[in-house]
Amino acid sequence: MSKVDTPQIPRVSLLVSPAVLPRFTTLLQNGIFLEVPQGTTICDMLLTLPGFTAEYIRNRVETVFLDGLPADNMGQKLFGKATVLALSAAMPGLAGAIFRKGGVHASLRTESATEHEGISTIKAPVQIRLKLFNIIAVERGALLLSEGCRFSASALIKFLSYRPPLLKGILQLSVNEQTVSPDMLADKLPMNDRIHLQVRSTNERR
Amino acid sequence: MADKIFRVNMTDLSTSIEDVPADWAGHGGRGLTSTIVAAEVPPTCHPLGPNNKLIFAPGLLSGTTASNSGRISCGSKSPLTGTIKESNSGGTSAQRLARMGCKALIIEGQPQDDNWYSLSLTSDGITISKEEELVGQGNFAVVEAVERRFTDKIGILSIGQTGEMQMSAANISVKDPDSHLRSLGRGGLGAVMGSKKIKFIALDAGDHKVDIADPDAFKAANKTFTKALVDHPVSQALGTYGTNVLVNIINEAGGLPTRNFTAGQFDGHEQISGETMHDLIVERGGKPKHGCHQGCVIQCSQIYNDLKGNYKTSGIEYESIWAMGADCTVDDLDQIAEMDHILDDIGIDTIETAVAFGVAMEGGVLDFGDSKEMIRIMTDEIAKGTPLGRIIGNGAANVGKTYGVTRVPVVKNQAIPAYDPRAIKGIGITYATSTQGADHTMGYTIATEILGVGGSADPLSKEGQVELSRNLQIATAAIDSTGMCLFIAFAALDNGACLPALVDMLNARFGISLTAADVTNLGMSILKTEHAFNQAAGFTNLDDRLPEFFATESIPPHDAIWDFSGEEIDAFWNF
Repeated sequence: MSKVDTPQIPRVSLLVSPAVLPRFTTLLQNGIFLEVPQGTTICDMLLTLPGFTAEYIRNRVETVFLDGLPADNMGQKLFGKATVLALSAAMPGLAGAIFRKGGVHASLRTESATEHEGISTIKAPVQIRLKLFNIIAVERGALLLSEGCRFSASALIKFLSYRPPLLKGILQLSVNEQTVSPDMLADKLPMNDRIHLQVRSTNERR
Repeated sequence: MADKIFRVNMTDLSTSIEDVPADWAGHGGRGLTSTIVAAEVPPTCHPLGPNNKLIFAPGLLSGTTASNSGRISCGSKSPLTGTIKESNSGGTSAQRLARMGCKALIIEGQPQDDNWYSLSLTSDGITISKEEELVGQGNFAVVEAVERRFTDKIGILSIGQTGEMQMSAANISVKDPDSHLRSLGRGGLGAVMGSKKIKFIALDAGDHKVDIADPDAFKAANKTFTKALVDHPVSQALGTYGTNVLVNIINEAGGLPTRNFTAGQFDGHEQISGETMHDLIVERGGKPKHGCHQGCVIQCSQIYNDLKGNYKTSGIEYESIWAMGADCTVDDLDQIAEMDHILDDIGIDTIETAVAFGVAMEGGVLDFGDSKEMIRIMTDEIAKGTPLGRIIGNGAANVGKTYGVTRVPVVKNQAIPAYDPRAIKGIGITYATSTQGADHTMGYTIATEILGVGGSADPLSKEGQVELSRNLQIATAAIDSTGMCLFIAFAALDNGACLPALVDMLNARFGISLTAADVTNLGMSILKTEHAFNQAAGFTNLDDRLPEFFATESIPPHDAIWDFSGEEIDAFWNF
């Protein structure tokens, strides 16, 4: 898996009830942070994630945005310093059809994602912000959260600020293996920085 | 029971039930309302005067057991746009009208006095009654009182205070199966109903059913059709998140008009997304999945409860959430739901009104993001008809003129909805060329090749994009005549059996032999009829244009501009 868990970033671990865990997958709309070698394809990058099979990527991931532009080719290579990739199921409306991967109404787009041209001189890995929307987040989010991913600390704090019931649904919370009261989480995390977040339910407590 | 035309003359308070003219027999829904408006309404008449007419028509399949066939169409000359107008909605009225044998209800004339009236329809006839108790009341109170007066089984069409005051953005409410509200939302049709001095229309179909010429064939086609709908992945997304699932997608594409169309992405999009809304609904004991009419198998509606778990609103759509949210930079779903409830109650279009607020914010009337002031203006100004309330209630273009704002997102005076045409150009073509002002539902994503309206131009050229938009509008006009929800379109795109099954149901319902080509011709005929009405009303090709700022102001993050020339757009009508 291409996630890099550097020891410097805070490790946040949440234990929640099984009923609450699916609600945390909505946090994935903000994105998780990964890095992959230059030239890795979208498909190969996704295949490193738990639950993402070739069949799932082909049949379920029907809307893809690369840096805000609709993408059709999952074999497209990722280059550059940083990029944003967003995944969704098939979407309604003419707009949904226009943006759909390989959709019959794609000709009505203003612009589509295109393959990087030329030779990349960047040696460092590509920093990926991967956003998972709607059904994709629900179907694959729990597994990702259970294994743990890098998130934005400020995104987590903001998410919990407008979702107070979720804060109350946290049964145990630790930061770098030190138990913390959920109410104090914001004070313990560096804003605008990365954290490694793991969310598990009591069903899978080990 | 043969279908009839129900006619009400509000000038002399007379009624009649007439045979259906042969020319109208093959029409339903939008096709019928537009045909009647074109035949009977002088194009240059004042929309709020006695010569305009208000027409309600169920779709060709409404009242049957066909899945998702419960849409009612309402047509007239629009007081907002001055064009022909059709708006359609779910709820219970289409099925009630169809089952009582009413092919169309035509309301004409205007009372000579200051009295208000109600209409009551059964299969036996129409009763006109003076109405005093409910004048000045909001739609929720009207539905509750009318159900007490009749029975909770009836269908109800009503207007709120804004319709009574004939504001150009006023809508007509349609009772849904839970006695909550759906809306014939766009184009100010509530003002036309108000001009006829009709507060509500009660529809009692009794135990009548719609006749089916070939029940076995109908049942078989409906089974195929329903399976195609249920199995489709978009249906799953719609049933889980509603149309608001689009917030994150359109924001990601940079096409979510924000702060009165000055940006394409909204910082607060996660707080108002479909994903967040779904979670809030579940946490508060609401319903994330809910049908707006009996027989809907997609169920994209929802019931949204407040913080205490009490009902707040239902069927809140992406376009409404966008308009009150991103366009006005409000990032609080509870505030948006509160506004949705108020606007439903006073009976005014959420898209037009919220876009008008965005223009008013740019004009300095209130601050962007000030949802509390928006709520105050809705309740204290619009609902009471103060000068400010009337300025906003008459739509975004009116607000722009009043406050000297030049960035006014309208086409033919109707507010552009939730997809920025610079970021999604195909939708911009539809906004420009629609016969009814800017409307995202006019050119839907129909499987054009199945209906035989596929294009011949290079699809990536501007000529090809205009051609595809034209074909989508032709196909949409045909679907709008069936009473079908447009969300059947997704299944039709991917499942080759879906649209043929729809045609089979039409044939089995009426004992006819339509082909896909006939359906296409129907769509073409509807568009041409509507276009001819508009031309006779004084509209020209120069009205088929987006506002200037779309061509001169690029929109971040992709810095796209609208770059279609007038000549390229005008090619739309070459058919």
